[in-house]
Amino acid sequence: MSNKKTFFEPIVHNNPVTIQILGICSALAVTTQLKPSLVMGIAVTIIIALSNLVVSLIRSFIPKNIRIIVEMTVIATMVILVDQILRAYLFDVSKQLSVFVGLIITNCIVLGRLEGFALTNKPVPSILDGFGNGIGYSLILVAVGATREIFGAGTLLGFQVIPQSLYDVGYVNNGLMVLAPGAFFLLGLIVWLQRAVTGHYEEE
Amino acid sequence: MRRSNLYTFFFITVVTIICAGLLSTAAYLLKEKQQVNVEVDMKKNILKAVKLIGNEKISQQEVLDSYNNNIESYVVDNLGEIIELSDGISVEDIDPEKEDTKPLNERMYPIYVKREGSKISAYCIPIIGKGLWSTMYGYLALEPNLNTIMGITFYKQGETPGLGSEVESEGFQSKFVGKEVWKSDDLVSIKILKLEPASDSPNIKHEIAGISGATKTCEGVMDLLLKDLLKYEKYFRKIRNENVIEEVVTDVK
Repeated sequence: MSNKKTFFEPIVHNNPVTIQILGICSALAVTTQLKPSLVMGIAVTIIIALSNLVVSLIRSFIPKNIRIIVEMTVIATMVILVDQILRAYLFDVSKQLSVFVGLIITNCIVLGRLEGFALTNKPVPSILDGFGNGIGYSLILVAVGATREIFGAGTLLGFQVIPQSLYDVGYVNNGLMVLAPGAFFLLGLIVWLQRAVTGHYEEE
Repeated sequence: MRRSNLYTFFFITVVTIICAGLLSTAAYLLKEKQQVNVEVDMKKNILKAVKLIGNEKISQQEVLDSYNNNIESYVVDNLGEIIELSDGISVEDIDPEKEDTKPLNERMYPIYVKREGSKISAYCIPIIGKGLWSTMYGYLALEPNLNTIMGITFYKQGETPGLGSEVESEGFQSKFVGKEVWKSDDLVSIKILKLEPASDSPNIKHEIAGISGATKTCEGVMDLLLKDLLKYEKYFRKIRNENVIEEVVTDVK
C-alpha cells in the first residue's frame, strides 16, 4: 500500500470511528462542545503517531506473548509525557484536557492501530497511519462537537451563533444535544450517511 | 518465532526501565515550571474572584505583581481568631484540603483580602468540594458586608466536559454575583435550581439557575459553599458585629 493511501484511507474510507466503530466512548463523552473535541482530537492524533512510531521501531524485538503489555506501556508513557509537557508549557490546554488523559490510554483506536498496523509495518508508514487515523477520528469529533454545541447551547467555541432574536420568538436550545444520547443519534446519522454515500457494507 | 522466557523477562525489564526513566526525567525537569503555573493560576483566580482582573489574557508577571500589590492574606482558626504562622510558611502554601483532616482546633483557614487604602474592599475564601466525579477547587469573594457575593471562580475540576465542567464558565459564575449568603442570622448556601428562579420568589437573593445535565455537580457546589462558609462563620460574625458598631458610631457622630 502506498504511503499516500496509508495516510488518506483512514480519514474517509476506513475511518476508525464510522467504519471500524472504535473510540466511540470518548467520541460520546467529550463532544458536548467544539473546543474539548478539538483538543482531544489533536492529543489523540499526536499520541497515535508517536506510539505507532515507537512500536514500529521495536517491532522485531517484541516477544509475541507480551506484545499487548508492551504496547500499553508505550501508550501510557506517551500519554503521561504529553500531559507533563502540556502542564509545563500549555497550562490552560492541559486544564481542559486533564480528565481526558485517562481516556486516551484506554482509547481503542490507539491500541487498535498498534496491533493492526505498527506491529507489522516500517516506521514511516506507521507514522502516516497514525496521523491518518488521528485525523479521521478528529474529523468525526469536530463534526459531532460543533453540531452539539450549536444546537445544544447556541454557541460555537463559546461565541453566540444563534441570534437572540430567534430566542425572542420562541426558539429553545435542544436539551437532547447536551446529553449523551444526542451524541449517539448524531454519530448514528453520520455512520448511516457515510455508508449510504460510499456503499460500504459489513462483511457477513 | 518463539522466544525464551528469559528473553521475555529481559525485554520487558528494559522497556519498563526506559519508560520509567523517561517519565521521571520529564517530571523532574518540568516540575519547577509546573509549580509556577499552578501558583500563578491560583493567584489569578483570587484576583478574578475579587474582580481585579477579568477574562483578558495577562502575563504571569502581571498576575504576580497585581497579587502582591493588592492582596493581603492571613489565617484564622476555628474560633475566628487571626493566628500567626510559624516562619517559613506562607498563607498561600496552606492546602485547605489537608486542613480538613486535622483536629478541629488545629485547622487553619486562609483568607485573602483586597485592600484599598485602609479599607478592605473584598474578602476571599477558598472553596473545595466533591462534584460528580472529581473534587472542585475555587474561590468565593464577598463584599465588605460579608453577605453579598462579589465573585466566584472554579479553576480546577474534573467534571464531565461540557456539562459539569461548565462551573468554570463565565456564564455560570456570573449568576452568583449579587446573591447573598446570610439569611436573617444564618449562613446559607446558594440554592441551584433547575430553571431560572421566579422573579417573585421570596428567596431570590439565594437562588440561581443551574446547568442542564449537571444536577450532581450543582448539588456538589451547593454543599461545598455551605461547608466552607461555615468554617469562617465565627470570624465573619465578629467582623459583621464590628461593622454594625462602626455604623452606629458614625450615625451618632
